[in-house]
Order: sequence, then structure tokens, then C-alpha cells
Amino acid sequence: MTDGTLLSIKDLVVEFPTGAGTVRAVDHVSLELGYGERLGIVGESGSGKSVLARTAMGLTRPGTARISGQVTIAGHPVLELGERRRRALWGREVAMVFQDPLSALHPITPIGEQIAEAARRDPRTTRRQAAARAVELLETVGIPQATRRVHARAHELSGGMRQRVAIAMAIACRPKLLFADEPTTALDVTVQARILDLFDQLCAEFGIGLVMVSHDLGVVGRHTDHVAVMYAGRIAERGPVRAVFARPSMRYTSALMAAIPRHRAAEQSLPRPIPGQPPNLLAPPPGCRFGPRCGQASPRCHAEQPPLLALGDAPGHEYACWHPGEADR
Amino acid sequence: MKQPIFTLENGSVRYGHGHPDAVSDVTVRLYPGEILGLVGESGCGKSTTARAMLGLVPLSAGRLTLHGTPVNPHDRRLRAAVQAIFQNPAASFNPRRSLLDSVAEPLRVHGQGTARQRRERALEELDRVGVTAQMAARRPNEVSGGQCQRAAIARATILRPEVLVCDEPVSALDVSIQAQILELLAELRTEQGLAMLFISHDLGVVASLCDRTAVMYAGRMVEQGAATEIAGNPRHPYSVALQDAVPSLDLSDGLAPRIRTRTGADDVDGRLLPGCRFAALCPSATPECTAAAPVLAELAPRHEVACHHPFDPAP
Repeated sequence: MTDGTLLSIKDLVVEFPTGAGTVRAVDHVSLELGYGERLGIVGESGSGKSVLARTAMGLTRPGTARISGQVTIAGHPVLELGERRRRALWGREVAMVFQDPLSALHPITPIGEQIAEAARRDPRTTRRQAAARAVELLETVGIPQATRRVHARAHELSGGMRQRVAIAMAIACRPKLLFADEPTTALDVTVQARILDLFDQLCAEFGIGLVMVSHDLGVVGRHTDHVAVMYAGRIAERGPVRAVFARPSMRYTSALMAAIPRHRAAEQSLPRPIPGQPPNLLAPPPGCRFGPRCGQASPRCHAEQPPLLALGDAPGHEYACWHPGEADR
Repeated sequence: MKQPIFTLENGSVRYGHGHPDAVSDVTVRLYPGEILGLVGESGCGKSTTARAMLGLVPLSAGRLTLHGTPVNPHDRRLRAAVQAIFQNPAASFNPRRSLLDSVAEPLRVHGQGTARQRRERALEELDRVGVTAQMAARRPNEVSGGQCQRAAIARATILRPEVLVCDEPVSALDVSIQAQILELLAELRTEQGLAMLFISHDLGVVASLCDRTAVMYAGRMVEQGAATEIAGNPRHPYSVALQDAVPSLDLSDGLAPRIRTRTGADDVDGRLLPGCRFAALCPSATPECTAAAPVLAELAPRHEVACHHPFDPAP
């Protein structure tokens, strides 16, 4: 069943029909992730990163979206499964952590009960075992005085503690794959740092594969092994994190990196804005989606969509650009 | 030495009896043509400081001065001289009116010009911040967040204020758009000589835009100095810990934090402690720190730190 690939996404297309036309939120995306590996998906609002993650997990309802392509998680063909068998994967094979833990938690049920309920998604777990597991999980995610805290309710906890509880629920049935959609965006930086360390620890200790969706390149750069940069539904560039950030080759990646203000730079300089607006997905530009905002675009860019090309000497580093950002560096 | 245009002197704000101060004894001085960045985490009192300076919450102690003279927060002079922009521009506009109408509104409130003149002025002001006449005719929900924030800036500057208070003005924007707005604010500072208070939780934004940076923790100002100095050489242990926590995109930056805050004290409310409010988390805290609160003192020229044991980068 396992061939070393935990998550495989092949040629995924997700379209949402709207009154004004069809929005293609994810446009022919393929990705792979091995057991215990960490992948970051970065992009700005509307780039399709969340839709990609949700669809891969089987959360996007076929009724609201047109989906084509294949997704395999630990050997299970997610998109072909019926509702019941897909639900059976949730918690046990794959789980998700969302941005806002307060809306993920029940306001009145004590957190211990909620975690125990998540643990009981595995039918072999008894009520008593689940209660014990809740305490154990709270300790795993770094909540002190776990035996007392199981009785706490969500509103009694700080934002960081709530996110830890949400993570405990997600890993309650020992899933092999964890999706985290902007898991630290609502948190202060000092709290964010601790939650990111927790993800690192869970991946290293339990061999969990992680897909982290984020708009923050620094978060992804520091806490994942591979990165995929998305723009207007497509993968603009991907590869090992260090390789991509050291040598951004697709023009959007380098423009995005230049637009980020640096907090420890030796000299003060304003970040460089990217001119224009992200494309309207109802009427995307032909050719390269970034073409209209790109300073280096040529007629070819406006006519022909660049495919993902391998960067010769860097294994796994691919970029979709006709004029990769090498010449002017 | 330049005179500050607008100051908050030893200001404190308390929300309701029996609560600790949201802001304690904070002094903010704004100079013409200078942007003061105010950073800190949620609940540290940075927005409350801004609201107190705008007269939106009453001060329980301290005072405001405009051009060196004390001023009542509800004074009409202050209303025209000090304007504000906020984090969510769409929420700060009337959803049923066009951006143009909203931008012209301050002129009407202050009884300036005829309707036609006000319209012309508003179009001019919108054009200056990069909003076309076609965009200006739309309602706030029909334009992007970046366009809406530009319009909010036009509305704030149309009365030619001397001071602009910006509370997280770019936090809701994507980075590519955020950089556009930062550029616009930098232009306003240089071209109009505006004094600005710029609140942000993003250290990168403040380090790249502001002239001076002030760091707040648990309602108190803990460090203040030139933005490059705070970014390159922070001396308060909290400022160092805050900076360490930001994941840097420059992978060459060191990974190891310079300061390890104490764990297990996350839930301690610093405001309820006597002495330094950071003491429970601070690795260099001594009995002195819990006994007496340190006051802001100049460690280097124009670099003030409130700490008994300032961080030394090369011990």
C-alpha cells in the first residue's frame, strides 16, 4: 500500500461555478510528499492555496465545486471515495488544523471531552482509554497541569493554548498526514514561535507528514523542508526550501521576496511593491498569469503558459517562467 | 532640537474600576516629518495608546499637548490636526456611499467649500493616493482592500492634518499590496512633512518604514530609539525575545534565539506584578526586578530602555 509517498496530488483542477462565470481556483496542480516530510504552500489571498489543501483532504464538496485529477493519501484515492469512507480517513489518516482555534472548539464542552471524542474516531478506543489519551495528548502538545486542564473550556484558554488543543484533537488518532491552514496567523509572534516548534517536534517524533499553508514566507522557510509557491491557482515555483529561497527563479517568487519587509536588515529600505493587482480569476490573463505585473514579461509570456521546468543543477527545484531571474543577478 | 507637534505625556488609561491600567504612564512624542513605530503583542496597549491620542478613550492620568500647549481631547483644533486610518478600511467606510462621497465628507463637516468644490478636492486627493475617478465612484465592497486603504488615506489627509495616527494600516493586506501602501505613507511623510504614529505587530514593517521605534509590553513602554538601532541592537530583553520570535526569511540569519524566555509563566499577567512586568518571563531577572519597576533611561544617545539588566549583545 505504501510506496514511500504519503500524499500524491496529480493534475488537480478545482473550479467553482459562480453567477458571473467559472472560477478556476486550482489549475492543474501536482504535488508529492513523503512520510514525515514537511511541505509549505505559500501564496497571497486568492492564490488557491487553501482550496488546494481542503480539496486534497476531501473537504471541498463535489456539489459546490467541479473537481478533476487525483489525490492519494497513504494509498487511499481520496476523491473517488464515497462520503462515508472519506470521513473514515479523517482523524485516522489525515487531519487538519485551522487558523481560528476558537471556531474549531466547542464553547461549552470541556476540552478534555472534545479531545477524547476525537480519539474515539478510532472504534477500538474505549471511553476510558480516550479519557486517558486526552490527558496524554495535552501533555504532548505542551499544556502544563494536563489532569486539571482537561476540565477547562475553550474561552478560559489563551489563543496559543487553544491552538495546542486543536492540534491535540488533530493528532488524537495518530494520523499520518496533517494539514495546517495558516495555523499561526491569528497568534502573536512569540506564541507562533512555540506552536511552530511544536509542529516540528510532532513531525520528528511521530513521523507525521505536514502540509502547512501560509502567506508568511518566513514561517515556511524556517519550518518546512519543501515549498510550493502558488500564484493564481498555479504552482509558480517549488523545491527544497533553501534552494528556492536562495535562488528564486520564477519572477513572482523573487518579486514576492522583495516585497517582504525585513526586520533585521542592517540598512533601512522600504520593501519593493509588486505593481498592479492579482488577476481576476473569472478572466485570467492568457499565458503566464503573472505576466501583466512582471517587469521582464515578453510577448511570449503573454501568449504561452510556461510549464514547470527543472532547474538544471538543483534536484527537485522547478519553476514556471520563460525568463527566470538569473540574468540580472 | 525640533519641537514635537503632538504629544501624549505620562498617559494612563484604565477600562473600568478594579482593572489594571491598560496603558500606564506612557509618553509619546510625534515630530514633523517623522514616523514613530509602536510595536508589541496583542493586549500590550498599543491600540489603546492610539485611541487615547485620538480622544476615543479618556485618559485616567496624563495629558495631550498640541504645539507645546495642553489640549482637550475634544478640542476642534485637534480634530482637524490629527487624523487616523485603521486596519480594516472597508469597515471604516459607509457601505452605502461611494468612496468619493466619504472622502469629501470631512470637508463638509468642517464647513469647507461648496459641494462641487468638495467633490473636486476629493477627486484630487484620491488621484494623489492612486485611486482613479472610476474607482472613486464605487462603494467600499466593490474595490480591493488596497484601493480601500488608499481611499482611507485620502479621507484622512484631505483636511491637511499635521498628524496621522495609523493603527495596523497594512495588517490586512497581502505583502505585494502592503508594500505599495508603505511607499505611499513614506511619500506623505517626506512630501507633506506629516508626523505619524504607526502601530504594527509586524517588526519588519516598522523596521523598514519608521524613523523611530517604541516597544510596548503589558501597558508600559519598555524601549524607544532610532528604528535602525532597535532593529539592529535591541537592548530590552523583551525586544530581543520579540525579534528572535519572528521567523526570518534571510536564511543566513542565526537560528538560535539570543534570549530564552522562561517557560511556564505564559499565563502570568505582567500588569498585576509589582516591579518589572516582564520579570516573570525574563531570563536575567533578579530580585531587584520584582521589587522596583525600572524607568525609561537613556542607555545611548536617543536610545531609552526601561530595564535593570539590559541585554548585552557581546557579554
